[in-house]
Amino acid sequence: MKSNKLALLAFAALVGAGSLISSCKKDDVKNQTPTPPPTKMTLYDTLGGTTMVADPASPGKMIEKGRLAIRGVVDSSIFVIAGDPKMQPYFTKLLAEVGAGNLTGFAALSESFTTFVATATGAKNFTYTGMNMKDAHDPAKNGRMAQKADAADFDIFVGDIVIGAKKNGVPDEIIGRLGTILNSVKGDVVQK
Amino acid sequence: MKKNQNKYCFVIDSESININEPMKKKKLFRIVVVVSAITLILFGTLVVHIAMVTNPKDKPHYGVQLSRIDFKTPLDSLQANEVSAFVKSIKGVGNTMYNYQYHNLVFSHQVEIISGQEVYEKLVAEKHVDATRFFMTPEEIAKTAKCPVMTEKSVLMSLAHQVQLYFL
Repeated sequence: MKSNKLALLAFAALVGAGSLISSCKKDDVKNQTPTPPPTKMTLYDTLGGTTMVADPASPGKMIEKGRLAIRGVVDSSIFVIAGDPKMQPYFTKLLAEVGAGNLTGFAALSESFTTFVATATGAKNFTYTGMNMKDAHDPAKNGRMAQKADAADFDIFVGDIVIGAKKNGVPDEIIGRLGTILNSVKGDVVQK
Repeated sequence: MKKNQNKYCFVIDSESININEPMKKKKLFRIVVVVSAITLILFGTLVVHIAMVTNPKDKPHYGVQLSRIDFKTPLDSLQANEVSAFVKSIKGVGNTMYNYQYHNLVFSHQVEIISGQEVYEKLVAEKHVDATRFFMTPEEIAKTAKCPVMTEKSVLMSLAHQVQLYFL
């Protein structure tokens, strides 16, 4: 009789444990979060994304790898633009020498344009706070624009960016993606 | 009874006016002080924020100026390399780029160490090149268009300039 009771208890324990294990398994399946589909890498991610690296231009400071790569392209492009007389009317501050203690045109443009491109390529930690491209290139809304830009000038500008990117060793595939992004604002920039 | 009630009400109102008048003034004074303090704190925070965000010394290329030297005759690659190497060897000069299409040399330099004019004079004195230094007068800069990403005349930038002027 006693052994029957023990056998019954053992059986009940086995069934109970079995049901607990099986229910746990079911719960695991139920609670398992579905694996998110792989997100498409942005151009910013391709260029290094948010990985922090030492900033060669600012000793002791860190910078996102994606931003550093974009700044390299932007800085090279600014050199090209500064040497291009056709772009001179649009970037006069670049070569206007300032006194010590003032922000130079190069530093200001490098910072602003890097932020603009970084944001456009998918950076999440920066915000471009300037005017939208349409208003920024409309002399009626932006007094700093002496004249409306035409398609030829825009193409020269993009060409200078490409030269700068090539000087910086950026692969053609990435230059193509960058060109697509720049051309996406052509309709807003070209107003003549 | 009605008369008494009216009298009673009058007395209460009168007392309440007399008692609350200084309290109201005190309360109003407190509100003014608190609002002023909050406004002052918020303004202070804004100033500190602007000072931190717009401090030019925090920019990666702080003090880096671009200058250009235009050559009257095109340079071949050997001459371009020689000129670039010489300019780059000058203390305070960073990068250089010779533009073959327009035969000019763009170089970056630290304005606190050397000016573009000094670099140009050293190059002419050492290499005897036939070149002119490109520069724009303030009048020319004011007349011509500027890059639209430089929002220097915005209200925020004006405030930032003031903050930099007085606090940095």
